[in-house]
Amino acid sequence: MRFETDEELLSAVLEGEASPEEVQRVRRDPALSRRLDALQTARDLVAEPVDPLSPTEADRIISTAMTTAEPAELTERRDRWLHKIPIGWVAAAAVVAVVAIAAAVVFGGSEDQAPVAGPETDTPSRAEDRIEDRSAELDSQAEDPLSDLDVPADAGQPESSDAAGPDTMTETAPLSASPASGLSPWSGLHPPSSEPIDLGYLAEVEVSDELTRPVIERFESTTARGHDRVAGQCLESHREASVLPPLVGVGTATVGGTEVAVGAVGHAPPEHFSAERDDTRLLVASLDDCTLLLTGPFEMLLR
Amino acid sequence: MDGADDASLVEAARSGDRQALEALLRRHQPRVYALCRRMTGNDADALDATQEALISITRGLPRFDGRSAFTTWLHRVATNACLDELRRRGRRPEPVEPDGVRPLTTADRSIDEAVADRISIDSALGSLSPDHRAVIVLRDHLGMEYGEIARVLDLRVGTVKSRIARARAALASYLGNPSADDGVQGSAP
Repeated sequence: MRFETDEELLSAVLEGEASPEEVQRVRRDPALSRRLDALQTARDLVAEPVDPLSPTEADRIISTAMTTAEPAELTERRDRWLHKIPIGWVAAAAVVAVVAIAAAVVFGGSEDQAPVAGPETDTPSRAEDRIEDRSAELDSQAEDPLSDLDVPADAGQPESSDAAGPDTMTETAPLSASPASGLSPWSGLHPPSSEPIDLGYLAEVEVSDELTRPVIERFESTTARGHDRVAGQCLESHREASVLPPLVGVGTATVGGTEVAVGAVGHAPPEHFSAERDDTRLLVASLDDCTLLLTGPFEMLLR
Repeated sequence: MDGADDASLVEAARSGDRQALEALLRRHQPRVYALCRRMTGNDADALDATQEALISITRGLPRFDGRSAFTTWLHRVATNACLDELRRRGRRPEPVEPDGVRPLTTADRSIDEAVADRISIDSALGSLSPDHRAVIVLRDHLGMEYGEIARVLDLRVGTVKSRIARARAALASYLGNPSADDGVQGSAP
């Protein structure tokens, strides 16, 4: 049988994709036939045209969009710079990103497991200041689209960092792994705890009326997650700029001494987050200056 | 300018041609609004979502790399703007409660007549989860192909087909009995 459920069969008949035999089967069955009629009605109702905006309203929102949006030149120049980031480094970050997100989900609420957050040598307030400074810098440049972004030439490159403390992620996720190895997001991690997984700090994203605030507040409540808080701010700015779905997971990882913020965006509720979902994307950004390093489908990054 | 195709307008807009940008926005605004109107279920939220979508399209145009069709990208931006609007407002379209009516049966009269009389399509769509609402609106209101919907929503075609089938079944069930709950109905967005 081609269809696992009657709904799929009926939908196929409705779409004209069913075989003549399948159409006959539906037509001969009074119950299925009634349901087909109901589906047809539902489809026709959804297809009903909506009243268009008045010309005045249409003019207003188009004008607002054109005056509110960031000048194209600034964004283009920033993108050109981003493309200069070495692909090898980004690939390495992708591997760690996958593991970091997995760890965020698996170990998110377990205090006796490796914390997702990085070392505390970079305090939340200091890191937050950096983000704010970066934000102010971008704001000032937005006012003058001809100004240069003044991005350091080696930004995004691996660098040793004396400030980086013990990296719990690298202990469980060797950096020698490569995307081509078919690394499972669970590879190299300890078996999930038998304790219930606390996804509270992720779940609050979905029920908030303002996307970032609850995440940030939650991060503020846990010192060990200071980096997550900064990562949340940074990734949220990229998420908004790229018009992506909400953040459903935030974490940090270290690659070659460089700390990166790792986020997952998607329409899936956090409890449904997994490598199998194909509508979840990863964002990876430098924690140093919030530069976006990588974005792509979660699944693609595993290949 | 109005006669130019999307690709030409996109290229010109990316180069800073504001007339081209305006022509693009003007050309696609009705479709974006239609999508948002069906997704959000009311005029005010649809207007806000459309505004956000147009701003995002303008801001994101320099990053549009042309690997997908412009309309695919535009629908993705618009759909996300609608989903964000639903989350931001934390509400779904208010169901229209038909006073004193009993559940529809096909024995009474045609479903078309009954539905047209008593049930708002907004409330029916509002009974679906945002994910299911998105696929059904893209398919049945905008007439998009499965493959394009899959690209817009970053889903597999099979997932799109499955969601559409389930969403249609849920809609039909709701239209037949607005209090029915068949598992596809939405959680708070």
